[in-house]
Order: sequence, then structure tokens, then C-alpha cells
Amino acid sequence: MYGVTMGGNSVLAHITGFDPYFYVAAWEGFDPSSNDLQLFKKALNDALMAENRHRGIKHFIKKVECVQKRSLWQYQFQKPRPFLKITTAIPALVAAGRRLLERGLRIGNIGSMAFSPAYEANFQFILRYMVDKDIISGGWCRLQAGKYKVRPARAKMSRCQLEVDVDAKDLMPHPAEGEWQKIAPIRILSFDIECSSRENKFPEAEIDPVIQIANAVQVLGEKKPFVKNVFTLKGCAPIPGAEVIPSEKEANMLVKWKRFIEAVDPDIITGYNICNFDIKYILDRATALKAEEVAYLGRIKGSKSTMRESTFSSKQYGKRENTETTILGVVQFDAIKIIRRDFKLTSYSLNNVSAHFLGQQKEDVHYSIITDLQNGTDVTRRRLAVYCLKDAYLPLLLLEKLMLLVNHIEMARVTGVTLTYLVTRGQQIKVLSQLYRKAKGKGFVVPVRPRHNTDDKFEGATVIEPKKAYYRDPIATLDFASLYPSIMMAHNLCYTTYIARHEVKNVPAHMYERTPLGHCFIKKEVQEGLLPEVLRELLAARKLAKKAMKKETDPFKKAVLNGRQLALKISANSVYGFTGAQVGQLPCLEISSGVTAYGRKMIDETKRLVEEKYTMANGYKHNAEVVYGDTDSVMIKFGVDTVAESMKLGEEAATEITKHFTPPIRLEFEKVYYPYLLMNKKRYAGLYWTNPVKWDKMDCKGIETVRRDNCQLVRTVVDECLHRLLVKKDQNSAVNYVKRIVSDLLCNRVDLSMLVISKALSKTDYAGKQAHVELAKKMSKRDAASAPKLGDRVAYVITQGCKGAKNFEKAEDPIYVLEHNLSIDYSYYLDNQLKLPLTRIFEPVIGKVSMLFQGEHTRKIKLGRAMSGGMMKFAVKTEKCLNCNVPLKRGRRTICVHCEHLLPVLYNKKLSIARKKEKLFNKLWTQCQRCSGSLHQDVLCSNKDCPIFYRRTKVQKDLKEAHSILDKFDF
Amino acid sequence: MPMGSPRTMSSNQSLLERLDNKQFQKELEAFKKQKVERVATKTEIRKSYEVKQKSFVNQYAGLYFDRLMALRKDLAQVAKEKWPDVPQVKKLISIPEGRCVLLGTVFKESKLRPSVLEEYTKSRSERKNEEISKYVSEDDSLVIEDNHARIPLDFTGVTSEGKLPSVASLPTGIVLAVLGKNNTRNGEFVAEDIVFPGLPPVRENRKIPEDEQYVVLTSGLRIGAVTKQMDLQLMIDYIIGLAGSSIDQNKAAKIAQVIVAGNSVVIEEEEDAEYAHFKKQTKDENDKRVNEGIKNAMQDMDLTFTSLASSVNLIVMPGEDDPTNITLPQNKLPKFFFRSAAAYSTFNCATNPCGIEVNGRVLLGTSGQNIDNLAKYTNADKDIDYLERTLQWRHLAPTAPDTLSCYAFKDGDPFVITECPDIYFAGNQEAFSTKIIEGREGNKVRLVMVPEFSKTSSVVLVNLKNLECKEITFKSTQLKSN
Repeated sequence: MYGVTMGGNSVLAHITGFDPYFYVAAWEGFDPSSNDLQLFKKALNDALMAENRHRGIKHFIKKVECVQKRSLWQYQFQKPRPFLKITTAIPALVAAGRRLLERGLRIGNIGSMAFSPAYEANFQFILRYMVDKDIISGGWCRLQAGKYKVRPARAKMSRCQLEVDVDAKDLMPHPAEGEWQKIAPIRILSFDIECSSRENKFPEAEIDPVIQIANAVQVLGEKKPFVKNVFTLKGCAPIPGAEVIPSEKEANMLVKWKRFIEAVDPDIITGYNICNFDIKYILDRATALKAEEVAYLGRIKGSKSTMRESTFSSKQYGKRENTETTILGVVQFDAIKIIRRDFKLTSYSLNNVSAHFLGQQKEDVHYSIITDLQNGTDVTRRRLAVYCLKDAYLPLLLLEKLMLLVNHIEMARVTGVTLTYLVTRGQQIKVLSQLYRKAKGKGFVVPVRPRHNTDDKFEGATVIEPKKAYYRDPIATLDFASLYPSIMMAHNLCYTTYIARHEVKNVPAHMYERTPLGHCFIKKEVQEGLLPEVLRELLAARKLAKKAMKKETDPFKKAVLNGRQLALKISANSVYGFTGAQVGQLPCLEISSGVTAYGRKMIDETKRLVEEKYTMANGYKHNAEVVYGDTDSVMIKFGVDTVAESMKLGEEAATEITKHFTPPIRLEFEKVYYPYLLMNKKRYAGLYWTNPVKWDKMDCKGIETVRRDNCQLVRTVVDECLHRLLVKKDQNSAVNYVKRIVSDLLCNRVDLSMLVISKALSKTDYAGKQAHVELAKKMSKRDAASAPKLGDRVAYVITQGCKGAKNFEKAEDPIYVLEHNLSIDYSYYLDNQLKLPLTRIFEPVIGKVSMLFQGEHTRKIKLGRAMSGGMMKFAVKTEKCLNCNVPLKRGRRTICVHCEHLLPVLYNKKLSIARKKEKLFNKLWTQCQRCSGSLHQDVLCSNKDCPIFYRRTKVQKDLKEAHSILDKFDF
Repeated sequence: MPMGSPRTMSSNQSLLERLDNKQFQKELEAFKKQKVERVATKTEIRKSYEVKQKSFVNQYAGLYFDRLMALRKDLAQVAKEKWPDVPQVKKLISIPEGRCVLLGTVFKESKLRPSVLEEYTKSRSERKNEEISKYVSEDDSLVIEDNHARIPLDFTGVTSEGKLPSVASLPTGIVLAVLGKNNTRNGEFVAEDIVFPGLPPVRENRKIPEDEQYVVLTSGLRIGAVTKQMDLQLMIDYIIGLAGSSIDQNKAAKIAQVIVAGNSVVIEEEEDAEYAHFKKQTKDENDKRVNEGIKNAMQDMDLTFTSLASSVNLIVMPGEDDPTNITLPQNKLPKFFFRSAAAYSTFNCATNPCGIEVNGRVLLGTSGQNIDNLAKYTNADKDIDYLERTLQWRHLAPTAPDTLSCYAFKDGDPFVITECPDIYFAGNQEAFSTKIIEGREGNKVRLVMVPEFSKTSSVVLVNLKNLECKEITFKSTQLKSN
């Protein structure tokens, strides 16, 4: 077990005296007083020995005992039964033993029999240990004085500062309460590497060298890193605040870095995409360079880090392919993994993530420039190093800002699962761990259920059909607090209370309750289920944590408590999912389908109660109407005019209706939406009020503003429309705004960067032709060097193209479009991008939405003119009147005789365009300077995710054009 | 016209009417014959702020580089005089331990400064709506950089000689030398004292006028807006010698030069002409209406300047709201605006900023954007301090390009002040204020904050002989001279 002391020293404790074990149910006629036990032990031991897999072990089975336990599975009439507890020599034998026993074993003269299911045989040894000894990951343990031995330096296996031997019984865990809630001074190393590349190819570890490795080391809970350094290949000019460690040879640099890691002795390493890129690249590179030493990254001496490809799939998190590297004793906490899992963003590039969470755009140096900088001088390499250092530091800022590590530690404490499992495994392990902890105390044993993939679908949550409309009056929302957990608690739904169908007749009717689906569960007065008890404790703990959080003043401690209450909430909510996970550890659809059935009933019940009680007949001003309901909430239009009245009725209704349900089910009044735009199921927006004075925020559900294949225009327009509808409550201005945008689009006035769509080029052989793939091909024909490579994001806009061209043929590089003045395919953007989301928003507001896309404002269409190519080669350029486009006579440059009286207004128009562009030029380019952190060096950034990237090129061109027109007036 | 006669504001077009009036023309002719001989004026407008070949592909880095290079040598000299024993660091990439002097450009990190990124990335309801007038906060911090590296400055220290200037008083873009010591722990440079390049050198062999003669500085006439029409007329009458006592008239005769420092005209903003096609009002009607408005304002301006130029030397600089480009340097107003005034050789348009030599005196000034921007991003006790500081920094507009938009020059930074002016001014200020400061060679520099006429009804008179300076206020009821 690895850990740190309060003083920050690293410790490795070798724990002895704890052996793996599992259970099977004793056979019928088993007699504990006879030598049945001995016979059993011998039979199993012999069978294992016959397999001849584990050499050097004398006694495979250490012990077999008889214990009285109850199976967790189904109601056992509260009677314990004899179980055999089988203790094995090493963890791997648990699985082997279970396999043999399930298959069938001949036991002495008693006969042959199969033991199925086995109990608690598929539980990770490490968790088994932690559960049994009440140890939690991320918590504190005490080594009792005199009960442990410190290993002398020569006997140490690891690089930890302290190495001790201790017996399992002498390690005292502290529950994470009181002073033991504080978080240990964990050392976090964050790093980032830069590689050079050939001719703009993505770097390959066999060929392309690592040129820089930047590191930042911080102690969790402290403000700033205490080490920042960068290892560079070839010299590098000094950087204030960071140590520069140059090497002439790449292998030396890698070795120096590896020794640096040893010296730092981090508990956690982090970075951005380190698992799938940086660590892998370094190890591959070390192999290529034959610098073997580098591969020994772990804390155990002589443990080589090895890699394997793994696929991680989870119902909640989706499927991911990963490279897993073993680094013993160090937790790999890759920021990209966590952020990908927990947040929904348009792009997970470090640029975008830091722009989103930290509010800072990051300079993005294209990898072709990286090689140039590396091949330059000490000063250019320094520039690269500064960039690299920033990339190493950003993950630390992200961890801190999003409280990722703290929240994970709290989650580890709550669920009793190790940090590594939390990062690499799904939800189930967390629930399983808690279940084991509870089961152990109650004398239950958990069966290993055979996995069977069924397609049994059970009905999900209910949705009350939405009455789509734009509500200009307050809509009160009632929510069931922790709906699914409270249903399980109220109706005592658990493995241990479920009565198998054929057993129901044996249970007196007053002892059980039937779910709406007809399954029977023991009432809690008879025996409280295990899951309800787990949930009850989780929710009680959450209440406590929230209370403590309110009182806490220290911001870090507050954040820790917040992490705790979040962890508790998530844990409580995942219990339901655990019972419903069909390929999971312990699925029990009788529970999960029962939960949703109760949920559906309650929503319908609530609707009925509200609409019965709040009527004019009962003396209320209006008849209340439930306009929508989903899973755990109902939206009610009480018909009142003010938020305050709506709140009062909402609160009253919540208290009133709660009385109709079994505690702890509780209906809460939380918020009022006013106004409220209900577009469809799971699709609505409204201003969110929790007090009658000022609204808290705009709450939008299911509005696709974050989908990546939407261009920025869609997001901006949707955002602005909602703002005008909800905040300004002015539907005319929203309609006019849309008309104006449509007109802008048709007249080519929309900024190009608003129209850029981007997709990652993940493979080149898609089944159908795809716009971004075709464009990448086109670009590599034009210039192979700058074309996007596999893994790059391809940014494109849809242009007019030839008549009848397919969309994928019309995709074009935005920069190319700018340079060649190509016209945009406005109809694509109108029909494929804007129409659907705008129709959704406006349908409830104005009914027929065709007026948005047809009418006066769409009459004028202006296409960009190509300045080169095609017919333009044969065209003779003549000056035209700036006002009426009549070709001008010789000697006139600006305006024709007939328009001359309009000269001032014309000048003024052209001038105001030029002035706007001048200001924009200034704003954009100075912003880029600020981001890149230098006034004196040209901006190199090529971050295509940045909203400025295309704009700043466009403005250069616009400005040139605007000024050349202005110059014509100078006579 | 008799002084003090009450005139009503109903005659908005009085200017035009009177000029068309034959009777008035006659009087004017008669007056011209009998007026006192004007002083001779020799004016030269410097061309340094004219942009010849415009190109918009440059970035701003070159400008900062040239600025630093232009000031570095003199700054090193000043620093050497002040701290003779402390070594100066050549490049900011390697900073020795112990005390040393760093030379470089300042950049101010500021959270308040508006960011264009926010406009693009934040959703509508997240954005801050109101604009604030001061972007100065406690959290601001400074870094110093040269073309090699950037180093954060720790400005919390107190020197033996006194306190460091506050971070709030220093903007981005100035070039300075800082004495201090590197804190190797956090990489910050602990500043003890700083020094600026100081006032630029004076040109040798200057010829200062021996007799009394005046320059009139004014700004913010805002012709076309309906305010202060009468006061403006009074002002013109006074300058061309038609008003006041004979003492005033004598004085008027000694006006060698009138400089209008920006914002001469107000042009009505068009309302979204681009969307006219789906509104009721047709495009042509809209154009016509706006055209009339602009034409009238232009004509008024032309006539005003004609009446001035017919009598005195006149230089018109553009200002922020004038019809020319907006980034500094602003181009001259186009000639076609001045059909009538342009006929006079005494009428000249100039750039903003503008350097002018009048009868041997060097004048340098702007229409005020540089000072307004400094006032947004820095603090000062008195407004005139901003003006004085720019001279100490030897730079007209240090916040350009960072927060004040300017052209991305590629050959040299023209805003670096290479020659010490005798009169240094900024137009369009809230109120008049002035100060004399002394240059390195003991020369005197007259600093003038030129008030905005449309607000104060006053102009500034500076005596070229002795640099005495005063404000004259024109109120339509009385003429006040102080």
C-alpha cells in the first residue's frame, strides 16, 4: 500500500497476514462436526495441484471454515445457512477454485457435487482487503507504534522514502471524519512533451525525436507548483521561474527526465492526454533509442512499465480505446479522460478546454513550426519551451479549477474504491464496493451471478406529453428529491427483500408489498433491505456534508466538502443503475423496473392531484394545468401572473402532495420558469427563478448548441433568439433578428468564421463520401505540406461550387475561400444548419415559421465574385461608379456624373466600413498578442478552434479593400 | 455687429444666411481694408505621421520592436546616470543574481480589460453589458519584455528614495528601465526603482520669435450639432478681428496660426442602411435624407473654415469623430469636403497626431485620443499629468496598439517623440489646463489640455514669444477674457 505521511513523505507499507478467500454454500447434509471440512479442503487442494499452474506453492488452500451466512440473493426468511469459507494462498487461486467448484468436484467418499453459484469470488483482492479492514482509498491509516518495522535501505524494494512491514491487523484506518477529513499532501507531477516531425507528418516514435519535456510539480491544496522545469534537446535560453535542463543527446535527455521523476517521487502524474500519447511516446522512443533505463518508471525498483491496448466501455461513459501503461505505485490521472467523461464540450483539445474552463485561449503552435523552432537558436527553442511549460501547467490549473482530484478523492472515500479504479472503471465497481461493505456487516454473502445477455427491455421513466407553447406566465416546477433512491427506500426494494415468485405463497400477505409490475418485496417493517440502508446512509451523509459546507469558511475545505456531497449524490443515484445494468455484476430487473414503475405512477398521480385540487371550483383563481412532466419533475401552470404567487402555490402543492406518498419520498418545490419555452420532450428553455426578485439563470435543456457539426452561427443565433424571447420577452425583436440574419446570410455579410464546421479526420476510408475527407484530399493535392493529416481537425465551409455539386464536393478550406472570394452556399446554411433549430424555437412562439425563411428580407441575394480563375481571366477591369455600378468614363475614379450629388453619403458609407474594420483589426491582433504572451514577437498561433483565427485573416483582406476604395475619394 | 446684443438661437442657419448676405460681404470688405496688418507666418507641417503605402498584412510586433530600439539607447544613458554602478542587462533572457537594471517594454496584465474573445465565446446572458469608464484594478500587474523574453515585475517594494510609482499609473507600451533584483524562487523581478527616457532633446539653433504672436488652439467645434452656434460665431469673429475692443483686435492681428485639433463636425449616423431593403423606407429615400444631413454639416464646416482661412493661417486636424479613418495616425480630411476653404492657401489639413513648426516654434499634439485612452487604463491626480507623462515616456501614444487602435507600422514607430516640442497639446479635453515643464537642456515646454469647444465655448491662446498661455471663453451674452 502506497501513501504519504502528513509531513509529505512517501511511504510503502508491505502488509502481511491477509489472504484471499471466497464462499460456497455448504451441501445438504454437511456436518461441521465431522471431518467433512477436511475432506473438502483436500479435494480442492488436490484438484488445484493437478492443474499444475502455480509452482512453488505448497498449500493451495490455506483454510476452509464453516460460517453462518445469508445469501444476498432473494429473501431468505431471515435464516442464516452454513457456508464454507475457502481461504487460498494467492488471489489468482480464488478464480481457479471457483471454476473447479462450479464445474463439480468429487469430495472423498461423500460424492461428486457442483457448487454454484460461488459467493464473493469475483471481487478484486485489493477491494476485498479494503472492505474487510474498513480501509478507504484517499483516507488516513495509522501504523501503530512498535507494531511495524522499517526496512533498511538495502532491503527496500521501492523508491519510496519510507518502507515498512506491518501486519494487516496493526494497520488502523481512520474514517474520513473530523480532522481525518483533510486531504494528504499528495505530490502531483504534470508534464508535456514536444516532438519534432518530418514534413508535417504527425510524429512517429520510431523516427521523430522528443525535443522537450516540461514538468510542473505541485502539492495538492497548495497554490502554486514548487518545481517547474523543462528538459530540452540542445541549448535553450533561460526562462524566469523555470529551470532549463538542456541535453545534447536525446537519450540523455530522456534518462535525465526519468531520474527527475525518481527524485520528485510523485504520487500522481497528470497531463493532457498523457496516457495515450506522452507516456506511450516516451516509452516507444526509449525503446527506439535503446535507452532501457527510461522504461523503469514505477516506484518499485526493477519494475518495467509495460503497455497494452485496452477498450473501456461503459453504458454511461461510452466506448473508448486506450493505451494502459503500468507505472507501479503511481496513479495516472489524465485530465483529458476525466473531462471527456464528465463534461460535454464541442472539442476536447487543450485549447478548447482551457478556453472553456479557464477563460484563456491557448496559443497553438502548429507542429510544422515546432520543428523550425527546434532547428533555430537557443532563443527560438526557448519560445518553444515556454509554450511547452504552459501545456504542462494547464492540466494542474484544470484539476484545481474543476476540483477534479479533490472530487475524485472524495468519491474514493465515499465508495471505498481506489482512485485508479475510479479513473479506469465504470460506475458498477463503486456500487459493488459499497454493497460488499454493507453485506459484510450484516452477515450477507454476495453471489457471483452468471452473466447472461438478455434483451429484456423494461419501460423507462414516464414523460407527460408536453403542451408545446411559449408560456409568458410563470410555470412552477415540482421535483421529487432524489427520486429513485427514495423510491427504493420507501418501498424497500432490494436483493435481500425480493421474494421469488414461487416463494410468495410462503410469505404472509401483510409482510410484503407488490410493485405496480407485480413483483413482491418484503416490507421494511419486517426487514430493511440492504440497498435502502446504503441509500439512507448516503443521503444522510450528504445532508451532513451540505450542512458542514455551509458553515465552512476555508475555500479549500469547502471545496472538499462540496466534492464529498457530490460524490454522495452520484453514488446514491448510481445504485438504481447498478440493479438495472444487464451485463453488470448483479442485475436484478425486478428492482429496477419496479423503481421506474413506481416513478411513472407517482408522476401521473401528481398530475392528477394538482389538477384536481387547484381548480376554480376549489376557490383558486384559475384551473391549474400540468404542461409537462419528465422522470422526476412536473411543470405546473397555476395560471397566476407573478413569480411570487406561483412560488407560493408551488410550495403549498409540494407539501400537500408529498402527504400522498410513502416517506421518504418527497416532492420539493424548487424553481419557477418564467417565461418558459416548451419545444418538445426534453427540449425546453426558460428563465430560472428561485426568488421572486431576480432570475438566477437561463436554463436550456436539449438545445443543440454544443454539437460539433453545427457552425458557430447556429449557436450564436439560437443564443440570441432565446435571449430576446426570454430575457427581453420581445418576440418581435427575435423574429426581426432572425430575418436580419437570414438576410445577412443571403447577402454574404455573415462572418466566415461563423460558418466554419470542423470534423476530426480519423480515418480516410469512410464508407460514404464525407465533406471533410474529400476536402483533405483536395488540400493535399494543392499543397501536401499544409494539408490536414490523420488525427487533425479539418475545418471547412460549404461553398456554392458548380451547379449540381454534392455537399461533400462543396466543402472548402476557409482560408482558401477568403483568398479566392468564393461564395458561400447560403442555402446549405439556411436549410441544413439554421432551419431545424429555429423551427423548434419559433414554432411554439409564432406557429408558422415559414415567414422567417421567406419574404421581403430574402429578396436580395448577393454572391461573392471570384476574382480569379474561370471567366475572370478574360475580363477587362474597368472602374465602376461606386453608387450605381455604371462603367466610368476615363479620368473618373469614384462616381458617375449622375450620382455625384451623393458623394458625401457614399464616402460616409465606405468610411464607416473602413473604420469598423480598422477597429476590428486592432482588437483581434492585440488579443492574439496577449494570448501568445509577447509584444515583440510575431504571433504564430494557428489554433483553428479559436474564434479569432479566421477573423483576423479576413480583416486584413477587408481592410485592404476598404482602404483602396477610400483612396479613390482622395482627389 | 455690436457686442452683447442678444441673439436668439432660432437662427440655426445664421452662418449661411449672413455669408450670403450681400450687405455683410460689403462690411467685411470694408473692414478688411482698414484692419491692422497681420503678423507674417511661416508654417511647416511635418509629414512624419503620413502613411504612404498602406499595407494590412503586418502584425504589431514590429512596431513594439522599433519603439524599443528607438528609445533603448537614450534610456540606457539615463539609467546609467541614475544608477552608475549597477550593471544593465543586455537581453532579458539571462538575468544575473544580484541587483541589475532591465530595459524593456511594459505590458500590464489586467483582468478588467475588455477582451474581444469574450464577445465571441460568451453566450449572450453571460456577457457584461455596461461599459466601464476605468479599467484599473488592484489585481493589475506589470511585466517587462524585450524581443527575447518577458519577466513579471514585483512592484510591491519600496525604495530607499521613496515609493515606486503605482502600477495604476503605468500603462502597457511604455519603455522604461527598472532597477531591482531577480527573485529566483518565483521568477519575478523585484523592482526598487524605475526610470523613463525623459524629455526628448531640443533641436539645436532654434529661432524663437522676438515679438508677441499667438497660436490659437481649439478643438471639438462639432459643427452640425445644434449647440454653441452663437459662441462659435463669436469665436470666429474674435479671431478674424471683427469682435471685441481694439485691444482685442490688435491681439487678434497677432494670431499667427489657428489649430483645430479634431472633432470639427458631427455627421449623423446612418441607421442600418444595409437593411433598408426590408423596411418600409426605401433605400433611395434613406440615402437622400442622410445625404442632405451630411451635406449640410459639411457645408457649414466648409464655410466656417473659409471665414477663418480668409483671415488667418488655419490647420485642421481630424479627430475621433471626424470623417476619416479612425486608427492613429488619422489621415487628413479629404479635400473634397472643403470646396470653398481649399481655395485659400492659408487653409491646410493635417494628420492626427500632428507636428507643426510655426515661426520657429515646434508644436506637437493630438486630438486627444491618446490621453483619453491613458485615462481609461491608468490613474492620475490631475488630467494634465497624463499629457506630461507621455512626454516623459517620449511616446505620444504608448497604449497604441494595445488598447488604442493604430496602424501596424513596419518601418519605425512614428509616435516616438524624437524632438522636444515647445508646445505640446491634446485636444477635446473636458476642461482647459496648462503647465510649464522644463526639458533636459533647460528649455521650457508648454503643456496644454485644449478644451472641447462645444462643451466649454473656450479656446486657448499661446504666446509664441514667451509661451504664456490663456483660455478665452466665448459666451454669446458676454465675451470673457481672462
